[in-house]
Formats: sequence, structure tokens, C-alpha cells
Amino acid sequence: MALPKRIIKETERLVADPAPGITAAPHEDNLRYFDVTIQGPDGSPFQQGIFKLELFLPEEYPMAPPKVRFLTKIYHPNIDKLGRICLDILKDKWSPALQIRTVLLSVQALLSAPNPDDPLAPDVAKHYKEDEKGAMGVSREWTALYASG
Amino acid sequence: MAAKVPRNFRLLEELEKGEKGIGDGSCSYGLEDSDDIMMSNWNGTIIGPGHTVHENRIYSLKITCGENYPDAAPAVQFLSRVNLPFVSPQTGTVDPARLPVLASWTRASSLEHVLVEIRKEMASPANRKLPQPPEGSMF
Amino acid sequence: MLFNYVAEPNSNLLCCICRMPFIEPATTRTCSHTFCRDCIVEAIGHARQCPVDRSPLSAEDLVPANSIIRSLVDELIVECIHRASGCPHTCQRQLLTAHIMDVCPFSSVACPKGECDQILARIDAKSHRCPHTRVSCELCGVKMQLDDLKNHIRECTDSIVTCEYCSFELSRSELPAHNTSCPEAIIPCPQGSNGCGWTGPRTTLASLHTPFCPYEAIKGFFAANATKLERITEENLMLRHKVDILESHLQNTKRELQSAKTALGPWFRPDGVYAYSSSRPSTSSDLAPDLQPASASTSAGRFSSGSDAAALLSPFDHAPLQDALAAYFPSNDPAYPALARRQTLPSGWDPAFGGGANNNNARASTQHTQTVAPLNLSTTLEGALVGVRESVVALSGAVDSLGRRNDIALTNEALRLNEEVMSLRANMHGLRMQVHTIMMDRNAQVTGRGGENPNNNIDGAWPMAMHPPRFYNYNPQAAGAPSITKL
Repeated sequence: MALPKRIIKETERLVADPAPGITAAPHEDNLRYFDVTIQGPDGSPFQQGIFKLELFLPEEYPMAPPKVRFLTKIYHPNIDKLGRICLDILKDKWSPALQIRTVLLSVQALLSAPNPDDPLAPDVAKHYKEDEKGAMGVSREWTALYASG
Repeated sequence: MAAKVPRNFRLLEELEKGEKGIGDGSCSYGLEDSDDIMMSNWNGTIIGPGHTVHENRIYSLKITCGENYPDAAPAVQFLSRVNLPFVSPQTGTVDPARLPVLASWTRASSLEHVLVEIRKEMASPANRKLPQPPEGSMF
Repeated sequence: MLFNYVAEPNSNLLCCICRMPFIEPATTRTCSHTFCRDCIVEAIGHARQCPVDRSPLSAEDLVPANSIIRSLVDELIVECIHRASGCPHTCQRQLLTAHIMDVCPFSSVACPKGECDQILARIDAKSHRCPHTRVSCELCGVKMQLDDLKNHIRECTDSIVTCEYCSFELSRSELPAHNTSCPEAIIPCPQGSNGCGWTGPRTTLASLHTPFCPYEAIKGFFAANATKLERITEENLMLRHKVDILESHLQNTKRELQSAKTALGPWFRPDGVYAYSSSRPSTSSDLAPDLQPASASTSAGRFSSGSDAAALLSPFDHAPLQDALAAYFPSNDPAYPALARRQTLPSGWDPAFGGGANNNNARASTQHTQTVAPLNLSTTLEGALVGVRESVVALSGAVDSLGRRNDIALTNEALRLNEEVMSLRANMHGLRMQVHTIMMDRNAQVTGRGGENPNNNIDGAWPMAMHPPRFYNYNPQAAGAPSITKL
């Protein structure tokens, strides 16, 4: 099956007109597989960090959500040690009207607004709930340590 | 061309499947290091099949998924001592040429397949009676 | 159908699912969002909610979109889908189907004549000469497929050909007849088979060649010769056939004879002389004298000296085999005395028996020479077998009696030995008693006390219980003594 026109159009737009602070480039040998970078949003503990992610559009896309994962270590209550993201639109709240761009913007927004009430990394979430300042300090340290490149 | 699932997402799928538990529980696997973002090193466990010399034994294995997984088969090594024709008696390394699931590896194969097939080999008429090293000894 | 739009369409006309201008737009009754019908139906199949606002949604909530929207997307200008093949046509989207169906030179159509199932581009259809079209040959009028016409013309019977000799034009079907009469055709002399090498045009044969042909003059001879030759060949053929049959018969007979020979072995006699002896009684004593006269009579005609035993037995191809066989049977012939002795009295027997048994053995051996019949090769196979059987019966009787004699001899010997052993044992016992008495005496002298509790003797290390089975306790007083005597 040829690559659906929608994916071609989305890719063209992502490359030609990227969203601010986000890049996405498809692999040459797999046009459904993207290398993604997201800049830590200003005002968040992840500011100045460049986070690497990978994104894959499964066969059922756009009826099924894309799969997204952080490759850079990050101290965030909704992102686990393997980089998996807890974000509703990547799961049950997916809609075929969403696209790669909107998904990546949502991930970026998640960095600004951690949600410790719906955690994927319980220890980090606990830290954030009990000592938000200290937790944000660790997030900043990790950003400097792992996401400065 | 159907969508080709990249290595990392494929391994994530397998990890989730392994966490849920596979089959009757006689085989299991998981990441050796839960921090390993590249998900290269895995631990596998096989409970020896009944009515064979392996009955009630627990075998641990180390499985390494390389860069080209799942296009290339993973490397498999027994940590528990075992006597099987496809396992090196010195190092416990599984000879991929002598284990059909590795020799004829395809993208459709999985870590679960590897463990289940090794267990089947243990129960095969040729191997079920092979003399075994003392239980619990390691390479 | 995937459309290629000439201009980037207004983003309001794009389906948010496939990101393309609506195709068959459908609007939700509940929330008034518009999608392609196929897209929204598939999306509802995955999740029963509106993709835009996630409000609950089912297929029944879909209605065809407002006609303004439909017109807007239907009137978008698209390229012909055969643009890559070379069609530059562009038109409103709603008209493209008609263009492709009826006009586009690159769309696929079936064979216009409907006579073959080939699919081809419309542009090629006009020039298409369907290979299955029926055409008729212009010359003979036979109908056939276009494909076959080329081959047909090459062999059509009505096509015009030219005679290669006289340049006369005629139809192909008449050519063979013409060739036999064409005056210009090159033909050989009729006597060519007899050796005349002349060839030339037919017209010149009678006038120029025949009068001078040397073979023409003797053609009567050739004819007669030919008939004769033919008859001989025929006869020859018949004879050869006969010889073949006879040869195969002979082969069969040879094979049978060979197998019979093999089966009979040394009893095979090509001249059948042995027949007379089969009727004679073949007891062991009678067979022995038979050997010499019979052998002599068979060989008398061919050998001057009939006394040599080897020569007697070898008037045939099987002589070596017979010698080999004969060696296994005893013979009364004086030429084989050594052999006879070896057969009847194996030397290995002698040392196995004591002097008493030797007499029996000697008697048995003399009996053997009488019971074993010599192998008589001059009688029939049956006769020989009867002789061998009788010998075996006699032998088994002899072995039986020998066995019984040996039994008796052995029993006698064993009884005697038994008595000897008994008397030796008694002597031994007496001796031991004497030695014991002496030792007891000495013991009493050395220790000054005789027959006390032996437990005191050796530090108590050996329990008393171990001692009794190791020594003979002839009197209870001496129980502890042996441990001292050991010193």
C-alpha cells in the first residue's frame, strides 16, 4: 500500500513550515518513522533543553494515534524511565482530526504543565506533589545533564 | 508496503506484552535494566516442561536485541547451565544456526517465540532425556 | 479515485481526516461538522464520536452536506489521472469521470471489435488490429484469424507460383502435376539406378541421350538380374530369421544344461555311465569295493593307466571339485592310507583319555573304519546320499556306546579317588590333633597357666565373639590358645 496522501502532506508541511520549537524529519527508509526534537518551553524547568523523541505512524493512522516516545531522559511525572508519555490524546482521546503537528504541540505543552494527578512515573509525581520546588530543581538538573546537547 | 514498525516501538510493544504475561506463564521476559532507554538487554525465564529432565527447573536466559532488531534475530544466551544441542556447553550461548526460530528469523518472530520455541526444544523427544548439569548451576 | 488539484484548495474545503477536499461531503446533524463520507464512516467505526469536538456520533447522524459545499468541491479543477501517461487535460472534478470514460486517449478500453479480451489505451485502440479478427484469404476465400493469415499465405493452394524450369505461372495446387510433364524440367536418365550418370532437360532425353546410353542396350539383363537378386535377398532374410530362432533355442538349452550341471556337481556325467550302479545295494561294505571297478570302467577308454586314484576321478571338468570332496570322506583305497587314518582316528583324541580308556578308544577307531562308507562318486547322487545316511546312522550308534563306556570308566575312577581323599583327610586329622597337643603342652610351660580366659591375652582389643568361627574348638579349655600360637 502506498503511503497515504495525508501522511505525505503532513510531512511536507512539517518540514517546510515547522511549529516553533519543534522539528520532525522522517527516516529515509521508513516514511512513517520520524526523528523529532522539542525545545523545552520557556518558563518551565525544561527551558533551554533540546529533547529528542521518536514518532511512528501505525498502519491505522489517522484512525489510530501516532506512537511517541522520549529518547532523552527527562524528570517529569507523566513521562516514564523509558520515555513513554502519558497523554490522553495519544490514547483514548485520539481523534483523526488531530495530526502530527498538534500531537507534538501537546507534548510540548505537557512539559509546561506537568500533571502529577495522572502520573506515569509515580516516584516523580510524588516528588512533584510533596515538594514541587525541589522536584523542579531535579527536572532542571536533568535537563542540563541530558538535554543540553 | 504495510507500515513497518521501527525497532523501538516494536520492543515497547513486546515489553508491554511481557508485562501483561504471556501464555500459561511457563515463559516470561522483561528488561534487564528498566532504565535502558534503548531496550537492548532482556532477561528471560523458562520453566522446564513437565515429564522431561527439565521438569521443575527454572532456566534464566539473557537476550540481546541489537540495532537491527527485529530484522535481525536477537542474541540468546543461557545463564543457567543446561545441556541442549544448540547451547554452547562452555558459555551457554545459543547457536542461532541450530535453533530453527533463530535460523529462520522473520519480522513476525518475537522474544516470546524464542522462549516458547526453546521450551518446545527441551520437550522434544531428542532432548527431553538429555543428562543435565546440577540444578541451579550457572555459566 | 485520487484527484490532483491544479490549485491549492481553500482550507475550509478540506476534510480534517484525510486532509483533502471533501469527496461526497457529509455533515453531522448533531454538531454540523463536515467530512468526506468514507472518512467519517471509518472514524465512527473506530470511535463513536465526532473527530472535531468528541461529541457522541453515529452513522445515522450523518446527512449529505449543504449543496453549496458540494458544488464548491465538485467544481474544483483537477488534472486528468492519466497526466503521467501524457494527457494534459484539466477540468472540473465532477466532469473528470466523463472525460476518462469517453474521451481521454490514455484511459483503458476493451478491444473495440469485442473479439478479444485485451485491454488497451484508447489511443491505441484505433490502430489496433485485433489478432482474433476473422479475415478471409484473398486467393482461396477461406476464413481465418488475422494471426494465422501470414502462415496461410505461404501455403495457400491458390497462390500463384512460377515453375522453376520453364517460367510458366500456375497455381500451387497444379505444380506437382506440371513438374512431371514440364519439358524443361531437369530429369535423370531412366537407367540412373543402373549406373548412368546423365541428367538433362526432359525434351533432350529421347532425342539426344537414349540412343547413346550404354545402359539402355542391356536393360533386359538388368531387369532379370534385379528379380533374381530380390528373390535371393528374400530367402536370405528368411534363413537369417530361422538362424536367430535356433540360436535363441540353443542359448536356452545351454543355460538349462549349465544349471543342471551346477546342481549335480561331481555327480554330473556327460555319458550317463553311472546309471547301472544306482540299482546296486549301497551298504557301506559293498560301496567300498565298488569304487575301483566303476571308476576304471568309466576311464578305461581314455586313459592308459587306471591305477592312479587322482586320474581315476578326473575324466571330467569337475575333477578338482571331486578331489576336494573326496578328501572329506574316508576311502578304502590303498592310495589314501594316511588320509584314512586321519579321518578315522584324530590324533587329538589320544591324550584326552587315561590308559584305561585307551583300549576302548582303539576299539572304537577300528569300528569307525567299518561304519563310515567311502564317498562313491560313480553311483547316482541318490545312491551316494543313501550311503552317507547309513554311515551317519552307524556313527551315531558308535558315539552313543562310546559315551556310555566313558561314563562307566569315569564313575569308577571317581569312586577310587573319593576313597583316597577320605583316607588322606583322616590322616590329616590325626596329625593336627597331635600338633595341637604339643602346642598346648608348650603353652602351659611358657605361661604357667593353661586354658584361662583368652580376653586377658590381647588387651581386650578383639571381642571374644570374633574368635570361635576362626578356630577349631576341639575342647573348650583350648578356646583362647590359637591367639598365642600365632605369636
